[in-house]
Amino acid sequence: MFPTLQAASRYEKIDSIRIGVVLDEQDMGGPAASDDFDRLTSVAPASLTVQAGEDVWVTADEGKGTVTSVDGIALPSQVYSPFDVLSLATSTRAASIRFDLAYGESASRRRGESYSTETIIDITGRSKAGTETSSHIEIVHPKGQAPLTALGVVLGLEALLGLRGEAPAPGLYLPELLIDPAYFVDEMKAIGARFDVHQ
Amino acid sequence: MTTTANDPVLILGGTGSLGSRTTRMLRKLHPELPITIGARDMEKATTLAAEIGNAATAKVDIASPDLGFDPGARYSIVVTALRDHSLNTLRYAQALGVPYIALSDGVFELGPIVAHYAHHPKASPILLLGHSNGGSPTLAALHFAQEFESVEAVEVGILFDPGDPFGAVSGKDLERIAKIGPLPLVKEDGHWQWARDPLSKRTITTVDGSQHEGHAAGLQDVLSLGSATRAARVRIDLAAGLVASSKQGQGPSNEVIIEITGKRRSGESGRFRYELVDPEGYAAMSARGAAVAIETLLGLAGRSSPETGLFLPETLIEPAHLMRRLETFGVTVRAA
Repeated sequence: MFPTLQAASRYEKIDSIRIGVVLDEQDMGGPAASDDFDRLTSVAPASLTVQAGEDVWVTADEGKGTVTSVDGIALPSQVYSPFDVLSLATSTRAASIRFDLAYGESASRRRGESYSTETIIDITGRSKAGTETSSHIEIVHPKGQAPLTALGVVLGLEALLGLRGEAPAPGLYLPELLIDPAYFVDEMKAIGARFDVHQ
Repeated sequence: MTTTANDPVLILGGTGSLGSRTTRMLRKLHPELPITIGARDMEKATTLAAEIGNAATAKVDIASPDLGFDPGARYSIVVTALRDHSLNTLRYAQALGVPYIALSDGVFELGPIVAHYAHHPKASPILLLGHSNGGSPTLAALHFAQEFESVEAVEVGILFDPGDPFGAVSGKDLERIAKIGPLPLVKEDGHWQWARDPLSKRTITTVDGSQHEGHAAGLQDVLSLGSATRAARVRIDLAAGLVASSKQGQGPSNEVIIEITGKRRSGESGRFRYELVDPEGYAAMSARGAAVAIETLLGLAGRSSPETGLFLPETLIEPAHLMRRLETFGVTVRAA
């Protein structure tokens, strides 16, 4: 989400945001993550998307798609709605937002290496210069999703404890309200995430 | 922007099943209060405005950020009795700096509105009122729960008569929740759970002693009851069947059965039963709850109106005030 928000700052108006994530089946995390995944994919039959400016809940059957991995292979995916969709919708007012999760084999494993995690972001809209523009961002972490997940928790703690600037007042927050996107992206790179940006 | 309580109440979807009843209930409570009926069907809106008096109409374009209204329009509160998947109506209320009431979200649909609140916490107040029957059963349960020293369970059952059909929006809400919603949320053994069969079912004994199979519903009532009481067991179940008044040939009422298990301040322990019967049916009770919420947010119910915040009905409305209103309206309230 933070790389998306950082890229979004170049836009005057965003038409669409697509995020595709490749989660390697060997990169499931611990029992708590596995429990979350089971619950979120079984008790909730539909996922939130934004279409033509409206919240649209998409059922599992309607939510099938593909995510093109960083090596060009198209992987079957399922629409999914983590809090990213809420944060991006509120922050950017994009008319169209969709998050797809491909659960399977990551590009690094197809090359015979260990599993990695991939995030593929596509944004279209009008730039601040007034031209139609788009961004394509590929992010790979060679150690999988856990380091990035942990980074988000650590930066959230840092903000809540007031270790960077003032601690926030009591209230209800989403991460983008506490953490600067550019700082988050720098820290992602510092812990080994590789960015390939076309914009 | 400054807005005063002299500006009209805006009821969006004001000609619908819930909207029109809410408009009439509000008129009964406050004969002088200016009301604007926001609708798509202007013929119906004009007829209703003439019927209640001191009312205007406005044609609504829900897809437009300004809802298609005159830029100079001012309202004292925005009530959304229609389905808005864009949050345009919420943003409109907040641009005016006036309270907003959301009437149709299920538990699982709260994400967008809560995220909006997190981003705009200082904007005008938002009341989440997607509760069954306009929040009346939940507020009544909390009213009765005040007699208890400790509460172990709060179970609400509602019997809908086949002769008391849902309005178009309520029917669509329930269909939508059934299609895209998750399993219903209940609190059981102190844990929030998405209930599968058999936890999702319960037998409800209704007013005349007959038994009906109820199905748990993922309505906001469980959030309110679960947060307000800390009971280990909280649920709301809906059942369909003939209500007592229908069997007696008196027309379809709506029956709400509230059961509270715990220890009363008077020392008795056990399961205690309370009943609300609305002789005018389900939509009427919903409208009564909505009308009481409107008067409370306008500061007309003896409490000052909040300037900002995200509210559930029990954090805003005095349960005893709602009970007085229900009795004035002719709703039967019985401790069984």
